[in-house]
Amino acid sequence: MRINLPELIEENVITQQVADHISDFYSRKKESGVNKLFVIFGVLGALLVGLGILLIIAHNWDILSRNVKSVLAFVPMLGAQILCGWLLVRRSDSMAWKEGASTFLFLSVGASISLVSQIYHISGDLSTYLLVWMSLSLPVIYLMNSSFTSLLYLIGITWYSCEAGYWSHRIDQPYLYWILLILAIPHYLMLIKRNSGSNYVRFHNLLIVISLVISLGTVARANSELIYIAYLSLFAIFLLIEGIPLFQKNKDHNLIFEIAGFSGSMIILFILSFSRFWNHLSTMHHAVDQLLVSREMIPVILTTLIASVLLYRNIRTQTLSRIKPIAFLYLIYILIYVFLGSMPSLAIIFINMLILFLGVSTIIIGLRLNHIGVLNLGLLIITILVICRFFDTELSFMLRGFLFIGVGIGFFLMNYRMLKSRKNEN
Amino acid sequence: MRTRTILIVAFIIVSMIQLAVPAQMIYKYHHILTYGKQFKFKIAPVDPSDPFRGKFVRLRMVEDKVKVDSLSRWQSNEVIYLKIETRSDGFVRVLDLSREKPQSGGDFIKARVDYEMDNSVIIEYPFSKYYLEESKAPEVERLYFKASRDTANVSFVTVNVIDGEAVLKELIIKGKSIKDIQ
Repeated sequence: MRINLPELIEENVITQQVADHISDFYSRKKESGVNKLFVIFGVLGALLVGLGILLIIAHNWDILSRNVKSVLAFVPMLGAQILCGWLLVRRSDSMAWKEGASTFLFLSVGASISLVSQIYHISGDLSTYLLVWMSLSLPVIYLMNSSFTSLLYLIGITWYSCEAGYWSHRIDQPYLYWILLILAIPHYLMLIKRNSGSNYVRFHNLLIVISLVISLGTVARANSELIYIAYLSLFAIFLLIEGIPLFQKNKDHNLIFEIAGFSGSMIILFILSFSRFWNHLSTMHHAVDQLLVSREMIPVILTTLIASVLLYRNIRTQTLSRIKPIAFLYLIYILIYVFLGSMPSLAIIFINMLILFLGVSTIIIGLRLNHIGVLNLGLLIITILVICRFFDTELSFMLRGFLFIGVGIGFFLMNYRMLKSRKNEN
Repeated sequence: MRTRTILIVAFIIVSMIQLAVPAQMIYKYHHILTYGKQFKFKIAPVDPSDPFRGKFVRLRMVEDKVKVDSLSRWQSNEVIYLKIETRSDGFVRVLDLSREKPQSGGDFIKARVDYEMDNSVIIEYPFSKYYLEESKAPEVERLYFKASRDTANVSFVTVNVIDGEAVLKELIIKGKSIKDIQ
């Protein structure tokens, strides 16, 4: 729609004042678009220049004495600090400068430490290095109010938890990851509160989801089967996050939580639908008191508590039927785990029924909403279930063949029906 | 106005801490290199498929294990103190290890347990990498391979030590310091 403001004023459709408001609105909108571009280029520029300087120093010039190299190791960090300090003193409102300078400072802190290690041939481990780097960079997020630094920080602490928890040949328990993550949360909440529509919120959501899903596994050790409860509860939290008032502001941004919650829950459920897990569980005779004090119990209790509070809030604020069935999964699984843990065959049947129920309920939701994507998602769940059972059941080839043909025909008929009804509506 | 002052003061404090971390590292290692007692560690040929990572040489010391009694359990990554002495040929020999810092005289080095195997603790020294200038890497690699095939050649590193803290000073291959290789 093209609007000719002078014409509208002339024809007395709108007043001059309204016309001024409209043109003000569009010029501001245009300006914010230009600003966004400035921020992107500012950050990209800082990243490239920072990395470039690092590579040049990393050449490890032998012409320079050890002392000169030591002094040089400080130069990028000092430069970045002066730039950030100047921006704070001048009370600069330019996001592009602030984000760019903070990114540069973040990189140069890591560079200085690694350069000193290189100059003095220190063979320290990567996880300690990442831990020191992230701890020193954390205040930059708050002092400079830099969301891009916060994103880099989230990547850094996740890397640390992987390095310490999975990759290092001396696997350690990265407890400090959780503290570092909690310390970054206030900035994230502030970002949602002030700027709920910004892309930064979207990226934060994505990185926080990835970081949590990856790092939760580092807790699993001797009683690793408990971690499945923690994962299902975590995914339930993602699915129920709209219960927190702050997350109701911009529901579009919760999509990533919803996708992660749904697909994560389904993946865990499919893993649990195999007999291997339950056979293994039934052979282990854990004493209950031993399980209760195991370290895996801490995330299990925390995630389950949070998920339950959110579930309660959701039930109170909306009708029960509007809550997705998958959000209850963690509670059902806990019941199966507690009561059927020692009876593998019964537990497997229950889990398989649960998947079938979720598949069918998704198909029904798809039909009710007339949404072809949701409908096919339900069909996909059932197909995966059939494929999984294809591998580990003793069913005859004939029966398996009929099962596949049945599901295939189901796919075809459901889609055909929906498309036809849509055509009729048109 | 007040919040801005607090912000600037906080920023200055944070900057100081950021600068202090590498500065403290430099001070510590510089002090050890200047005033520390020098030791020579003979180096063993390393796995030829992986001596280089980026621009550093991975070093393995000849003295890399200590016999321990079968009763004591040693955890991987545990901090240990190695009692050392210089043998008549000028190279270091590891005498013993302990969890506590030795109080009586004698030289010692702080290290970590790599792993325990057949009643021996395999030592992980804090100086297992030697960083090189990028352009020298191919030449040093050639020299290092040649030297490791030739058993008559002795390659070693010099390490300076103060109060158990050790810093690598020089890598010598075929009697020549790596620094002098053109």
